[in-house]
Amino acid sequence: MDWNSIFVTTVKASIGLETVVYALAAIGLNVQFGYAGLLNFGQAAFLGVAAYGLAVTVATFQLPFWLGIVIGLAATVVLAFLLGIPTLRLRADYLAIVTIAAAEIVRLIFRAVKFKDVFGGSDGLQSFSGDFYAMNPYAPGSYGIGSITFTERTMWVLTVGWILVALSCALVYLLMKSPWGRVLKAIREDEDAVRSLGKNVFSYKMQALVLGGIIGCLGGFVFALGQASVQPDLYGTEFTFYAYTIVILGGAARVFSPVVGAAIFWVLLVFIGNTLAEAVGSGVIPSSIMTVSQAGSVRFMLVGLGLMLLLIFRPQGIFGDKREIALDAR
Amino acid sequence: MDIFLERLFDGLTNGAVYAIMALALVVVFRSTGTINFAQGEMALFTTYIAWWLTTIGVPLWAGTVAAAGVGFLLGAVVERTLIRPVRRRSDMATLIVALGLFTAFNALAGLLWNSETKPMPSLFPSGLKDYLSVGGARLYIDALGVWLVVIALIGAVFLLFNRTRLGLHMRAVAGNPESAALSGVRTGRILMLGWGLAGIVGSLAGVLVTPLSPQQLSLQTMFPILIYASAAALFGGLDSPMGAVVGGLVIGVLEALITGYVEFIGGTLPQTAALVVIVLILLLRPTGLFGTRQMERL
Repeated sequence: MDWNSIFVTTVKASIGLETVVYALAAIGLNVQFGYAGLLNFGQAAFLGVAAYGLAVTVATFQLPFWLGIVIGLAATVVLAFLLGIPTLRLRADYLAIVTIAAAEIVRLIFRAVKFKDVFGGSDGLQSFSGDFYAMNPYAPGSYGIGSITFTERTMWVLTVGWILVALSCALVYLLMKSPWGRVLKAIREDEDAVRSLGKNVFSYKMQALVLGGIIGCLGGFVFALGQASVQPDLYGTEFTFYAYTIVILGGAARVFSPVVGAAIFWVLLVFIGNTLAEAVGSGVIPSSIMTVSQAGSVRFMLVGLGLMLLLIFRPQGIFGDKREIALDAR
Repeated sequence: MDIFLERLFDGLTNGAVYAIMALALVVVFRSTGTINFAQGEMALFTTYIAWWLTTIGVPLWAGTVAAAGVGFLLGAVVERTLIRPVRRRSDMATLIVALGLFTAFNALAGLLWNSETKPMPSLFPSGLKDYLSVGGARLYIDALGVWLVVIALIGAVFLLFNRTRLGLHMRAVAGNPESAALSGVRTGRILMLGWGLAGIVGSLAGVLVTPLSPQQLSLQTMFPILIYASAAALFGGLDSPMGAVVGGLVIGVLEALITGYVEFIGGTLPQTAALVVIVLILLLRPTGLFGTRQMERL
């Protein structure tokens, strides 16, 4: 087994594109779920509409890059309103069922044959990231330490991505210190009490849903630009599920936990995936027990199992505070 | 007219399956207080078991019974080991565990039987010539079979709820778990049996629905069914078994008529119509048709 290549890919994963994307998705989810107690099971859809908003504007309609960003942001806000207005006055389940269904339907619309001209069907869209890479300040070449290197394109995406992560964390930190954030946490703890103090609970929840969606949508932009393509199947239910695992792993309602959670999660996922693949490839695990394609499914199952065990045995996650999480209300 | 009748039959057949899937959701909702998002994927897993048994020569009816048995065990074991420890904490934890189960069962089915689509045989004769003529329209035998199974199943569930001691206990636990426990009902066991029962119902839904749809058994088979079933359960009011059945049939017929008569929607988009139905119900009448009022309370 090639431990060196396992080590290199694992280290790269800890600061790589997926970590940035999932960190942004999880920071947004943390605002919605961790602070406001909203069960958004459709975070993938927020990233999806943002990524497609950008890609469709530039690739399909040949419009400018920045207009694509604006349209992606606008689409995210519209989606948040569509999902929030009917559900945020009702029980937590209803937001969950509407968001999980909406996310699946958004994915199906993106891959529908009928709209292939606009969304590109199951192949998705490419060639919309030219303007973004034209802004790249890094000279061509490879950057890094030892055998851990990135190309100038990856460096540019990661720089932008980590700046967005830092800005989002700062925003969440400041907001949660503000009166607005305290009202949000109070809503999570006891909605009726907050309502009886004269606060408009519905409006606060809606603001949290929109804000979380917008932070997530930044992740959608980074994902689309980093891969230089959008594909509908990247925005399935398992994306949202990974984001939840990250938030809960790090600890809900903590500013940095989604970022650390994302890094740990991807390191573990890549490490397990590579080790299994290497073990199968080099014959340590005989192929009668497991093939390479099955190793991918094993990862999923381990993540699912890990999430459930976390919820049962350590609902506050790694850094969370047991007194401050919606998961431990009673 | 005959085209209308055929679409109506199609809608009733799909609707019957949505109805029993919605019934499974309602049984879990009444006992645990949350929607079980993993119900569809648990049914997917047991449907794969039924399919796998047919590939090694077991007749489908025996495979279906086995799938129902596994469905019961899965439901009961999941409730006992994964749901119960988090249920006391909050509804949110339960819902997130369900999301975890959703992904885990899908991955497990993919792991055991890979992600290629499988041809799923039907429990009933399903050839192009196996139909009765009703008013000029074709009523296929397999559709009729699905109706009969669903009617029998719903009858059995209603008898269980209303005529047996176990059903009485289930209703007691759903109504007020504390009072039920104080009257000597073993609530833990009842919850476990409730999840097991939902597992059986869901498994049957999976085996019945898979051969109907033009796409065969694949890892994506059950998620759309879950969306329709959730719409049906919400339509009927999440805590009413009667509502789930009516809701399922209404959603099924609506889907068939909309797909048939509204040109623009066709293809992969009828699910969008189901979502619109969910949203409209939540906006206009959050308790659904038959739901009890306390549902609106947070």
